[in-house]
Formats: sequence, C-alpha cells, structure tokens
Amino acid sequence: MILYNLLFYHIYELALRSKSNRDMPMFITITVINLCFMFNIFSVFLVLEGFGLIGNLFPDETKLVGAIVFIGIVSMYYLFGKRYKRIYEHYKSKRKNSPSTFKAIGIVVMYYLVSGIVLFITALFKNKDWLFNSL
Amino acid sequence: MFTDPLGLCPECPRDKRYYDARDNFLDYEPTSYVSPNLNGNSWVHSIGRNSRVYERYQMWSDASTLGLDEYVQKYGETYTNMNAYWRYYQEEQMVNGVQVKRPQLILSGRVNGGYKRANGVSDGNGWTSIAQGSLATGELFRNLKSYQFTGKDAVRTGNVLDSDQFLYNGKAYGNKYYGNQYQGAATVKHAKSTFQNSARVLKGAGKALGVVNVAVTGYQVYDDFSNGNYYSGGTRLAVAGIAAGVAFIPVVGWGVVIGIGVADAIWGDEFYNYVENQFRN
Repeated sequence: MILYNLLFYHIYELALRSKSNRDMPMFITITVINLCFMFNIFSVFLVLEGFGLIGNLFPDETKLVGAIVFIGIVSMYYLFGKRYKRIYEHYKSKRKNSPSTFKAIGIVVMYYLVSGIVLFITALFKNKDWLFNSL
Repeated sequence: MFTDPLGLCPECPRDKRYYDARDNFLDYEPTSYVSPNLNGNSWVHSIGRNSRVYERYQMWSDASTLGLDEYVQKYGETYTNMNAYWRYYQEEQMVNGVQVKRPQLILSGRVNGGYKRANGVSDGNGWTSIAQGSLATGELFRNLKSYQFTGKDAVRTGNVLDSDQFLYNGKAYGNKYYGNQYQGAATVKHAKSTFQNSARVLKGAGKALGVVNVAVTGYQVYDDFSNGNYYSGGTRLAVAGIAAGVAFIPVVGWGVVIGIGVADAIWGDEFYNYVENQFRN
C-alpha cells in the first residue's frame, strides 16, 4: 500500500502542476492508479493460474460486475473519507521540497513500464508461450 | 499427409507421426512445409509448432462432435484452453486452404466471438467499441460547447472556474469585477452567472465521461482476460495509460486524447488482435 500511496502522491503532484488536469487532479490520479492496480493484480492472478493454484478467476458471466468491482476497490479506497487528501498531505509534510516534475514523471513512467512488462511476462508464462514453451 | 513438393526441408522427418495426449494417432506431419511461409520461423521450429497446432485442432474437432461442455468435463479441460484451441482450429483451416476472409480477426480477439457463436451465444462485445467512439465524440462535443460558451476549451474553463474567475468574451476576469464605464454591471453579472452555470455543467460532463471511460476500459480488459486474451488485455491497459499520460500535455492534450479514443474505437480491435496473434505461439 505504501508503494501505491507514494505513486498516488507523485501522480497527484503532477496533476496539480498540469494545466489540463488541475481542475480534477484526484480524478486523473485515481484513473492512473486503477490502471497500475489492474496491471499488478492481473499479473498475480496469471502467475497463480500458471502454477495451477487457482482456476479461471475471470468468469464470462460476471465480467461486468467484476470490472466494476476492480475499479470500485481502488476508487473507494481513495475516495472514502477523502483519504486521498490525507495521503497527499502526509507525503507532502514529510518532504522539504516537492519532487521535481521530471522525477515524478520518471517514477510514474518507470512503475507503469515495469508493471506492463511483468504482466506480459506472466501472460507468456500462463500461456506457456515463447521462453516458457518447454515448461 | 506430409508433403514437401519443392524439397526445401532436408531435415524434416518424412515419416513422422503425431499423436495427441491420449495417444490417438493424428496424422503424418500435416502442414510443416507451409508454416515457414506464414510466420518466417525455421523448419525445425515450425514442425514442433504444427504438431501442437494439429493436436489442438483435433481437440476442437472432438469437442465439436461431443459437445463442448461434455468434452470439458470428460477430459478435464478448461474453457480458457478450449478457447485457445478454437484459435488453432481456425489457423489449421487457413493453412489447409479453407477460405477465411479476415484471418487477423479470426486468429485472435474475435476468436472469442467465434467460439461463442459456435455455441449459440451472441458475441456482445461490439458495444464497447461503440461506447468508446461515443465517449470520444462526447469529449469533442464538450470542448466545442465550451468554445461556444466561454471561448476556451473545457479544461481551461474548469481551471478558470476553480480560480474564482470568469470568462467573458474569451478573457478572464476576477469574480470581484463588477464592470466599468465600458461594461455595464448588469451585463457583467449576467456573463458571470452564465459562465458559472455552463462551466459547472461542462466540468460535471467531463467527470462523467471520464468515469464511463475508465469503466469501459476496465470492462474491456476484464473481458479480454476472461476469454484468455491476456496480451490484448495488457496492451489495452498500456494504451489507456498512454492516453492518461497524454492528457497531461497542455493545450492540445485533450485533442490528442480524443484522437486516441477515436483511433481505438475504429482500429483498436484490429490492433489488439494483431498483438495477441504475434505473442501467441
């Protein structure tokens, strides 16, 4: 959770500095966090499925509910009791200076890239494609 | 039956036979001489691949005869795997010269649709593309309306509203401005209230469009994963992330986001199918 909160802080900081997102900083932040969460949670599921520890967790019949639950979990976590404000204030008070724009962009892009690559590797593992062909 | 009419494959075993997981004889190497032309792989690689292709093709044929549910229960298969076998079945058909009009659709993302149609269940996934196109159009409409009402794009309008200002004839004034000798108090008061009303509606519409957009993307990704299309699901997430990142670009960001939304709605399926196809064995 600390990792996500830290990520949240950097995205929120970027949103506040962006002319395009300044009017709704919380909204764009939760959107990006949601995407990162999906990358990570799907990677975990694919690894577990790949090892045969769990079955298919994405049944066709419940996909609408499932999608809403996935998005709802993250959104509710940050919106409930305006937690997003407390998180932002907490990390802001811990720092003398707010992070530079380049540093914040770097952290967010790096996290996103690594999460994306991990998801693709776990998908290859689950499907036994490419390097995992002989497993 | 294995054939190599041009004699291009010296290391291909001429009499190799293939058996499925239950030791049922499948055939002689059926298509190895075709495969290098399709994917550029070496002969040796393509032989192994084709044996799997053929095995899975055979499994799908068995399932078609037996009935999918019964087959899954009898052989302990999963629906996700059967979904993948459908892909190989279609591939095999194409290799064997069966006319397939749009192979890129049948070989990947639309496989699910094909798989479901084979069982009499409608595809039901096309609405997400329509929803995406509508969202992009909605965002364009929101910005056009914003230009009409305030002379600025919707984001700038929202920022002005938040900073206790209002826009009048495309120029920002503080909320404490009540007019001067050229602009009457009544006119300014009217402009202020008109701006605040339209800016609030535009801002609300932006939030609503954003929420629906995230929900549609979430649904599409979940749908891909539930059908075993992990690569296209991952790519969808990556594209959504790029669109979110582009939204940070000042002034033109919203226009580029609309462009990505429209392109995704029109060519998205084709692109994700391509990715899925490339990553698959």
